[in-house]
Amino acid sequence: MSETDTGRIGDGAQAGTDTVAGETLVRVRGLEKYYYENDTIVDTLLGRETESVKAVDGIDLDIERGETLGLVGESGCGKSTTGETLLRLREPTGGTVEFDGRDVAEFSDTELTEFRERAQIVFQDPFSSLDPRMTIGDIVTEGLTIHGLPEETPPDTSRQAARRQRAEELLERVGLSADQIDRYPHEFSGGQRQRIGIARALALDPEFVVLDEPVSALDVSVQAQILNLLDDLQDEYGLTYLFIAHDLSVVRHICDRVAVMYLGEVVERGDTDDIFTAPSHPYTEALLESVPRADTSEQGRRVDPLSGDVPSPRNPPSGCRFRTRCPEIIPPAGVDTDQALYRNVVTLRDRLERGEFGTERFRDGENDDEAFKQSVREEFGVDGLSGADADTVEDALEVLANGREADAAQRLTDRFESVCETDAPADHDCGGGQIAACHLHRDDSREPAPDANETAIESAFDDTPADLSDDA
Amino acid sequence: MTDPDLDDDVLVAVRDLSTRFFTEEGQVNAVESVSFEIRDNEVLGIVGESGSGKSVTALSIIDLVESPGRITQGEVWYRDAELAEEFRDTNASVVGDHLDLRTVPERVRGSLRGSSFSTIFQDPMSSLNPSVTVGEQIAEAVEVQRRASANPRRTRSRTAGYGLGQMIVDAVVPSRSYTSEESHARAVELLEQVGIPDPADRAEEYPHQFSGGMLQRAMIAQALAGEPDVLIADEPTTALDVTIQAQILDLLRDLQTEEGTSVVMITHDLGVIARMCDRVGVMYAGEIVERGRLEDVFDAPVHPYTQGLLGSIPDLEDPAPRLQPIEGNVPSLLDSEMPEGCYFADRCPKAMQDCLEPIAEYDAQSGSPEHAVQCVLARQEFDPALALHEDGDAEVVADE
Repeated sequence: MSETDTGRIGDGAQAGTDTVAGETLVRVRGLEKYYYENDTIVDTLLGRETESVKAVDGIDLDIERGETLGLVGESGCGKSTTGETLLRLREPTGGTVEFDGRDVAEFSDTELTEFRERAQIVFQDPFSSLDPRMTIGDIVTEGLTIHGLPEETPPDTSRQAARRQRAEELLERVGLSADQIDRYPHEFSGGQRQRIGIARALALDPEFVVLDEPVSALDVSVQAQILNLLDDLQDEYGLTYLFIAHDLSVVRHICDRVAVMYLGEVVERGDTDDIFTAPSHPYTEALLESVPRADTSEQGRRVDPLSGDVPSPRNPPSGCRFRTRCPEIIPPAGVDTDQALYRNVVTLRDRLERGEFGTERFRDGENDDEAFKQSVREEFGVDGLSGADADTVEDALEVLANGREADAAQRLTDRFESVCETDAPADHDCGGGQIAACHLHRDDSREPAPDANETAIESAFDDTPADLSDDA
Repeated sequence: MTDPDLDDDVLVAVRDLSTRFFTEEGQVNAVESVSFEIRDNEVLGIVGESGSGKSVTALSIIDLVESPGRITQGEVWYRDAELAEEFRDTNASVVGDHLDLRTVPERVRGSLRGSSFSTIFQDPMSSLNPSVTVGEQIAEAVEVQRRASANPRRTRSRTAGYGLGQMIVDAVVPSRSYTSEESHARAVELLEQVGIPDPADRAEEYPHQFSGGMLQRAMIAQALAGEPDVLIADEPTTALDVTIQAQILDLLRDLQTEEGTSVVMITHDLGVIARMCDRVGVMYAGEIVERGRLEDVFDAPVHPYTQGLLGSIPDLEDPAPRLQPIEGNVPSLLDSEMPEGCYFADRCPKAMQDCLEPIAEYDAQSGSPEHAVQCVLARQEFDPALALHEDGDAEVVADE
């Protein structure tokens, strides 16, 4: 992927605002992390197909100096992998990460060592991320030792003593007591251990810290203490945070900008307030809708939840990855039906296509074709269509009654195939720097942009993001 | 015999219940003199941080506390006209239709599990047997109840009924499967009821073939097998993603309305409490420090801990510039380290001299008859002159 491709939406939108080049500390372009299965020599000799798990699949992020970027998503969406890959704790399989203008992948050993000083991480689990056999003083100073810091010490103190002194300062700073320095991790509670983890990350005076779910293992009262501490430290040391979390209220509280991930992709990004008050992607909307608020007005609130589970990243859905659960999937032109009915037809089609239909279930003994079709109609709720839509479904059911599942699926596909399954949505600018990867924001769709109508349809169907920002 | 003073719509009343664990490090007071009621057709929430005793409270109701834990005092009144009649002229405490389960033989309490009380645990992955199909496990629960209701007296004897003996016979004689066809059919029905697509096929699958959300649904199906009066849900959605959590909460609510089951919802998530519960109890260090209707506790909290808890969570709609956390850490529950007075006093911003004395439960004086709080502030205003801690002490230097 070309790095000089200034036509990318992300750049364009930011160039349009007051962002000055060079303020971006971390720039991620098309980052990919695939895990391969059946990838050994034996597998190759046996001719087994290599299977890839696309944990992170081509994401773009910009992290400005001094800001907190939130990375949210459900478990398994690839947010932690993203954090670790951009620190080069895992080697990316594609894409680039630029730190302060330089490609992280191309660092030499000495440069990588320097990078490790400037970029740090705090892990989620305060229990497993601290070595139980080291005192917390050793834990906090370990980084200093590895990097041979401090380089200069006052004449009358040894380097060892200087490190210890630094550790004491740090412990005090994160709210522990300096005289606890010789204790072991098991003597501390979860919240205190997380403070130790933070002190360790700060020891090398980093510019950038990846916070990987730093508060999700903590009780709420302690969580608030840690969030306040992180806030203070950011102000004090001018830190840049990548805050990885699944808890949306925490993200709202601490982040300046947010990127929402789903199944290895960033589906929406923008300013925190914009995203929380006016989400553009149906997934973000559903995510916000699902969060229970701690307020009496919440009592008895029913959420119209997303149906089903997150699909496997081994075999993600074609087109838009969210389409299998999306409540706003776009019917093709000419299909005129409500969302629920359309969704039901698509579900029927998907089941047929995956060969999971199980025709015999509807063949209750010796029932005739008419009864069979009726039971399918009822099970999938595809009654109530009209015109050509109804004809197609009837046609498909007829074919199905003759036992030709694939054929039935094809007939349904021909009429009902959505743009959401044929094309991966490009990033679309929804205004104010808010970017959503969703076909609903194609320029010919929900919110038409001025002057862009002619190129819009082509660009929406084009996989590479077009120069929409230039038009806007 | 005490008079528990029970209304007719009280299904379960817990009075002064204490559970202790006698460990090598010393006596741990996990639940300390807890009282509350579960009413017909309601969702009661119990909220608290980890180690506050919420789960042990639930286990104490159904008498599932394991060694070295023991229920050391208290009463668990349960409304069951038939049982009450049966035990009226025995040593057991019976008042009207209610009887105190702590005074009936252990096997009677055991027989109520499944048919009267049922539990959903936090982690469905480790709560189901990985080597038995999901359908079989649910069918087993159905079968147990079927056999029990066919012969209630045998159920309570130690060896017969659905007990160990029967299970051994079933296992040894290969032609006899423990579960019957009918139980399997009912298991599939239950799976359908909890919203699992293709229930007949899914019943043949093993737990690892289910996703987390689906497994939790299967757990709920299993819990419903005995058509319980009380469903105890112990952190039922904590292991799940928010979109899946929303599905499960909706399902629990639907089942509660349809079946008229009372639900005890145990969670640390105040949002889940707000969405699901009619009444709520807030637990801290083994005690219920505040209880009342949802609006009492959320809109007019009296106990500084409740206030602190509500102030600690970031608001999704309105990001406050700074959170107001409770300083310090959750205390140790070791008996030797527990203070005389209020357990929260050392973290409490409004602690006064009186807090060093044992605190009783008071009416919260908020106008709601159900609102009770275990705090001196229910009786007297905070007086800075009597304060224990100086204000403005922001960062904690916690020492354990």
